[in-house]
Amino acid sequence: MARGEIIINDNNCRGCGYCQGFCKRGCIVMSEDKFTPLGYILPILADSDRCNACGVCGQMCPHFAIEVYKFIES
Amino acid sequence: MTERMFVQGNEAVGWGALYCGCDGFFGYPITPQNEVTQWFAHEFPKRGKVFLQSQSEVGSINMLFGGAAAGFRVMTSTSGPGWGLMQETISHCVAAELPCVIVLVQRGGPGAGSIRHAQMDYITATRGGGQGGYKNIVLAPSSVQEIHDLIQLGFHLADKYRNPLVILTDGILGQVSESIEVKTIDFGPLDKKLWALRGRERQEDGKSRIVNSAVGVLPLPPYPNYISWLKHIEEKYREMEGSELRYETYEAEGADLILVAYGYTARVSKEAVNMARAEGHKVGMIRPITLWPFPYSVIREKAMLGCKFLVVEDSLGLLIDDVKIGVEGRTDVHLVGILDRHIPTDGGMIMPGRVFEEIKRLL
Amino acid sequence: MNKKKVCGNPKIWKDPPGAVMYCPGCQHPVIHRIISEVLEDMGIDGKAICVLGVGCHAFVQISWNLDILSSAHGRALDSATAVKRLNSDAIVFTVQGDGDCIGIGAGAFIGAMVRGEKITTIMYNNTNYGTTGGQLAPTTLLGQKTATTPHGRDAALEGYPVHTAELAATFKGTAYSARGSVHTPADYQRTKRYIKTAFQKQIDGVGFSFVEVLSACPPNWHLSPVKCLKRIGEDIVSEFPLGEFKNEDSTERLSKSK
Repeated sequence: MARGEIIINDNNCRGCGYCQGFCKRGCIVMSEDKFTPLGYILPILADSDRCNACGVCGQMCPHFAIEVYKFIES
Repeated sequence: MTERMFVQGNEAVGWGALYCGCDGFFGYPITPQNEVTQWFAHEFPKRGKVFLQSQSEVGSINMLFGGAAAGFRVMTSTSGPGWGLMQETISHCVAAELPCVIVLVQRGGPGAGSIRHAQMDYITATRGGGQGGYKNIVLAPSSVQEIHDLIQLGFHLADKYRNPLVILTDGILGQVSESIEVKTIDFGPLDKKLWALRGRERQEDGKSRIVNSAVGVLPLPPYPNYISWLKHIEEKYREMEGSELRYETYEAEGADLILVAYGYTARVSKEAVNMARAEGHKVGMIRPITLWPFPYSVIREKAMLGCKFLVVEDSLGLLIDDVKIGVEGRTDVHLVGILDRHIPTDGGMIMPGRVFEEIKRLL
Repeated sequence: MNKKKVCGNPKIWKDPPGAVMYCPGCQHPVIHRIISEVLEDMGIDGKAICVLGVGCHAFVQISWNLDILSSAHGRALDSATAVKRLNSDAIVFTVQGDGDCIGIGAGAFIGAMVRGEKITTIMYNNTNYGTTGGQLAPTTLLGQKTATTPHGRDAALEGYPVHTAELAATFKGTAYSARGSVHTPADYQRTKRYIKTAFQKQIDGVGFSFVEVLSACPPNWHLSPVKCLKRIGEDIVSEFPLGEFKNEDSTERLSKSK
């Protein structure tokens, strides 16, 4: 069960692939067929259930394209 | 509160700066202006003001860039080679609209030239020596009192127009001692420096600011683009030309021959005019106090009346070009220059007697 | 189920959207993020005055909601010196590139350390002049191809990579000097700690503080972003070891330090 989620802002993303590289749980992979408005390859969520909201992908993203949220039991 | 004292021209720079609220001096040793730097080293720290000797004149002028951006009254003083090193950032100061004062105590050139007096930096001072063809007001004192007074005017005009300003003296004026009256001169109110950098929280409106000289790469509000910014600068130059021109005339009414000189050679020329007048010759003088803006109109008027011109400057001929522009070919313009000094070694000076000889030759 | 944002734009990051000025995979904005986090964590962004050099790092001025001075190329530390001397309770820091700081700016850099200015300098080291198209920099590695060393840097012609953090540590006026990188999440945290320590030296008024941070530059290294990180981990870190090279807590110890 996912403990968090990420939102990728495709206006900022430049398809550099760091998020895929840094996600320890393989939640993010570079897509084959999805592009940003500027034509960069867009990363997609391969396995959002494994996301534990560690925030590394957002922290290491050079283009400030990823927001990370942690789910909190209300 | 006024105080009388007997000081060197170079020291008068300090007293003038102190009495108009200069906050910081950043300098580097170079003859013949060392007494300026030393004055600030002795007098500023004990008054809680900043004195700093930089690692080079490139360092000094960039310290001015920083100090001015932070909203303080800052200045430096230098000579020939140091002046050359400062050109790039003086241009940055114009672009970033940062007020500061640079005292240039001229020495012989080109190259290392000589460590004694001369007037050979006229062009780089009045035509913008760095990149981009900018302008800056140039004030030329010709006495120790006037050095004290023009430093204060200089800070006022630099702040008024947010532009660097040059005080142009020379090795003789710097070393000469005269008695002066030291006082704060009030030139009227100035706008608060709301544009200065203080830290976002310490701004009155709580908004952050940018000071930048890359006006084409990153135009800052309210100028949407490069050309709109340049138009603003052009208007600023027109305003300076329109309202900041200053010059003095001496015995120029009805004169047949007009001498044009600034700085120490203006003192020499005044003496020569007196010698000529004593023998009944109708000779007068125009002494520009602002070398930019330059007094073209009064020169044009005299030329139209048929006056001849004799430029007296301690160089191979730089000021003479501006006089020719004013005269517009209506009459001939002669020169007593550096080659007319009284002795050939670098201690040589242009003497009143030599100027008087030239006057008699021309009349 | 509601959610809390754990990672997004730093508080002092202005809109428009993020670091749009940077090449894909350029790590400069990652360092910008670290500095933003440190300034916010220490609560000093409101009284900070940033003096930028000239280079890719300087594009941060369109994004940081700080008072920023964009100085002449190589002269950030001269300008910052005057700002700090005249306004000593501001937090004054310079952000410069390797070319800006230890190339053209070596005179200002050494001047500031000789004087022990209480300024913090962060030098982004991408081993080339990035903005102008990837020319040789003092930090370029031997054998590294650049726009001005097409056959690779040759010691006989272009000398040797300069070790700026180690150089800074040799000055008595330097209170703190370290080199970090951001090629792994662990290095991100370590570099953040170095930068926080550096700012603390300024707050404590000990002396000059310096942090060099390695940064990937895909277009000018002619490598994909991920391969750049590999290059940092292998070649660059072996030339430029990471760590702290000087860490003194008081001016008294500075005057005694070797």
